[in-house]
Amino acid sequence: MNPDISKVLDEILPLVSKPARYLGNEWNTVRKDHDKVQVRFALAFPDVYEIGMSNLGLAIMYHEINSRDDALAERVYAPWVDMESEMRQRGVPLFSLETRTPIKRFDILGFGIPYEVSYTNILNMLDLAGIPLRQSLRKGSDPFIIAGGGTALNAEPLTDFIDFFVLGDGEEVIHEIIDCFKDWDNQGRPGGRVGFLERAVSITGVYVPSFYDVEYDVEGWITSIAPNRSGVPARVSRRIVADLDRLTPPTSPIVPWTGIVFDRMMVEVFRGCSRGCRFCHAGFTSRPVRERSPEKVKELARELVRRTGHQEVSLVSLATNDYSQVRDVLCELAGELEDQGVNVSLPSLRVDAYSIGLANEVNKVRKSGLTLAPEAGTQRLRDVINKGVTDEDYERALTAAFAAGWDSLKLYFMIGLPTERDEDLHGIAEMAKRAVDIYHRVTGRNPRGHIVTVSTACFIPKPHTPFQWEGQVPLEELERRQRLLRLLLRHRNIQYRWNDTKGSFIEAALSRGDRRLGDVLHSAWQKGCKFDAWSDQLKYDAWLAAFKDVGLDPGWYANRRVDYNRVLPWDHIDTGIRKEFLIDEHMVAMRAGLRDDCRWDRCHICGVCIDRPGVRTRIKPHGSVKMPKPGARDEK
Amino acid sequence: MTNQQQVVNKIGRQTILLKLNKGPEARFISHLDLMRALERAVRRADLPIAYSEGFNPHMKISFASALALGATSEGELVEVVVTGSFEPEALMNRLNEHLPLGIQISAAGYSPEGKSLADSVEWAEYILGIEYGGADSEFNWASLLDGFWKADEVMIERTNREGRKQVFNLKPLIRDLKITGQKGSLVVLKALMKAGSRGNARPEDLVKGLALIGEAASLTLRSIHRVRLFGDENGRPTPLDQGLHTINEKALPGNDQGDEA
Repeated sequence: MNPDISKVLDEILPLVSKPARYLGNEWNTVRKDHDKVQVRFALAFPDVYEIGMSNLGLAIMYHEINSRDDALAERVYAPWVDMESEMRQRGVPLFSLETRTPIKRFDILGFGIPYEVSYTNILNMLDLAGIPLRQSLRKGSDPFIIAGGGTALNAEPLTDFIDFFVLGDGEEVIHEIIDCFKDWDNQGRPGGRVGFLERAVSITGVYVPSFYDVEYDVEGWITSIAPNRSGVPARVSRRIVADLDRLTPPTSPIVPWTGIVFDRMMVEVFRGCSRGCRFCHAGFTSRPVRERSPEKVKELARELVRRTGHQEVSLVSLATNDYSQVRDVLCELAGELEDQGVNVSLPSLRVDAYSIGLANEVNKVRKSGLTLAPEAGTQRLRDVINKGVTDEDYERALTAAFAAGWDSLKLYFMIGLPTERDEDLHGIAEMAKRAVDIYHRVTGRNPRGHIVTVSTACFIPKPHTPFQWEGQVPLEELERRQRLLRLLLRHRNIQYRWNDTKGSFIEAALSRGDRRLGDVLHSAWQKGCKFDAWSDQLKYDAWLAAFKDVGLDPGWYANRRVDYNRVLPWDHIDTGIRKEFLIDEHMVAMRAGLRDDCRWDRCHICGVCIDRPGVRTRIKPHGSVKMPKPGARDEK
Repeated sequence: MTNQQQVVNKIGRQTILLKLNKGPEARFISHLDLMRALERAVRRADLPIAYSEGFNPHMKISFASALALGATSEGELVEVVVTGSFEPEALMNRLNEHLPLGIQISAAGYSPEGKSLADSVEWAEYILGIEYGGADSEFNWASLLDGFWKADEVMIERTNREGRKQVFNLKPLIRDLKITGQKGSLVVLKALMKAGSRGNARPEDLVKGLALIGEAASLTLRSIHRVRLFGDENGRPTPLDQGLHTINEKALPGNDQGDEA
């Protein structure tokens, strides 16, 4: 423990909200001697503790790095505004939780980026740490700033501030990076900082943005993205772990003192998703599906309960209902862990009776709210986004849910989806009202109060998805659609919640942005922007002023439609999905065509399994791709 | 009290009383978080804990009294109900292996029958660090305490949980006040104050009351340490932990287990 920082903390902690965020002495915390390892890693999350501690990716990295004798990893989260102000007043630099070591003293600072609206927090954390914001201004003694996570695949606005990105699954590549750092260090750090980057760039999955030059035409469109030195790949491939069973996932993750956002132990049952919902960034950037075997899943769950004492285990993935052994694993674990007062849960449910049945089996006694995400209000629009949920599915799911005893329902939709018309919004209202009717019919009770909550989020056309060429619907139009829904959803049993259009406009501009937005980020941060994901913290006017200062138009970034032949700011990032496939998907979407999952349909040649030895869809325990469609599994 | 004997009730459950330290490392852990930490430790230790009946079963663990955020303690009391017979000492030792830094069980025994633990609490003993921040270099703590005892009543204001202000007389809620040390402007007070459901005085209330007696003297509460919880027998404070027979030597005060490098 750093005694100087500890002393000041004793004075500060009584003054700030939720001081338990900053203690760093939770159960299972790993503390190592900084002098006895060669590589010191700080793992950072650019939002508060409660959100960062819920991030499975960082927990995995913490475990991978600390499993080595020659390296250590410690955590740091964005201090909340009250804590930041106390720290700045007393000159306390950003410090790690475990040993309260100033972040500047670590060798590598790795950010897990959860969403675009956390970018300003990254700048703010670097500043609090006393590290030069721009990578070009960093000196030999400064840590290398690296970043990973799903958003790293299109984080061009961050390129000025990050030494390199790590793309894709981190479990294997992190060790290659540490080994590379050690070699460079052992040889006397030849070539300085650039020397290390030149070595690291040869690791698959490492993207060094300063090794690429981007050119623009007079209208601001990108004309080329090309390496500016030899030994740098024209396109950077994302890392893919071929077989989840060969990993050793953390069984002793840190147990927080305080309640966090996902206050449960997570067991990842598979990675990737091939359902092909066309709006879904994660679905197109984490393929192929790789299942963990049921034996490993059960073993992991038992071990997690034993070592953490948690009261809930969640079987996580992008769509756990699709796990080939979901029913067996769920029932076996739920039965076994019940005696220890431990619940087993599913993080999200598909809109079908099969999923409701599953949830019912693990949730026998207490049924509070049920959350479903039909995403769009009409069959046509659900087909455009390839959601694959029919009115019949919806009807059956709700009938099953109300019959099983759930008495309130949350429905998630997106507004502003490509081709959306007012009739699709009417469709949302009809679905909500139908839910009230089904409740009445199934339970025979008159619905009281808000039994249905409709939430809408504004759609953002995300990079690497078939909708990447679409623009976000303009702000005023999104607001009109929200107003319309407020009218349509006036019903004594229905509550309507909508998200902030301004926040999602900024998110869209950043998400679809290029590296010229680095100056905008810097200016926004200087104007006090941080915690932009918190609607009560978002400084919209400061953001607009920042764009204006730099001479860029956020509307152009958020709303522009892009021709297929244009260079996209993220074109040099190879997620494994062929661009031709995405174009094809976009065209099929425009005529509301469906594409089934390659797990039970034919291969659609998205490209991820091609030319990558060992990488393929793995369904355990059968080992190969084909499996019966989930609905059919229910019948047997 | 006859709490030396093992009490196993009809359905094969027994209640064990534990005395718990909350060290400086854990002083910013809220009461709710402390309960959660204890439950998780119980599950890690794989103890045969009893659960409540009902739709949402929870572990039978109950605290005597909530400790304020920021305070340390060597005298928290917790009751746990276990199924079957279980030696308090074994329970204490096993639990201690699974408790996070800053939290330790220091003693264990069988819980006495009768009133619930929370309902038995009448008094709490604290050691408080209070700093005088005024200009008077001759500030006299002894006469301040004298003034407190001589006052007929000490009316102070407190904001309750709903945000409403109440005025009440602090005087009857303070039983004992003693200066145990002084260093510059900082004084260390030992205070026996009313606690529990039939009247409760917080350390902040005492500082407010003393400031009032000292004619708006500038007093700041610097540290709170709870020493012991007391019940009441015929008007006399009686320690609630007096029957605990198994002591964890390592967790005794002055033998702080939580030293960090």
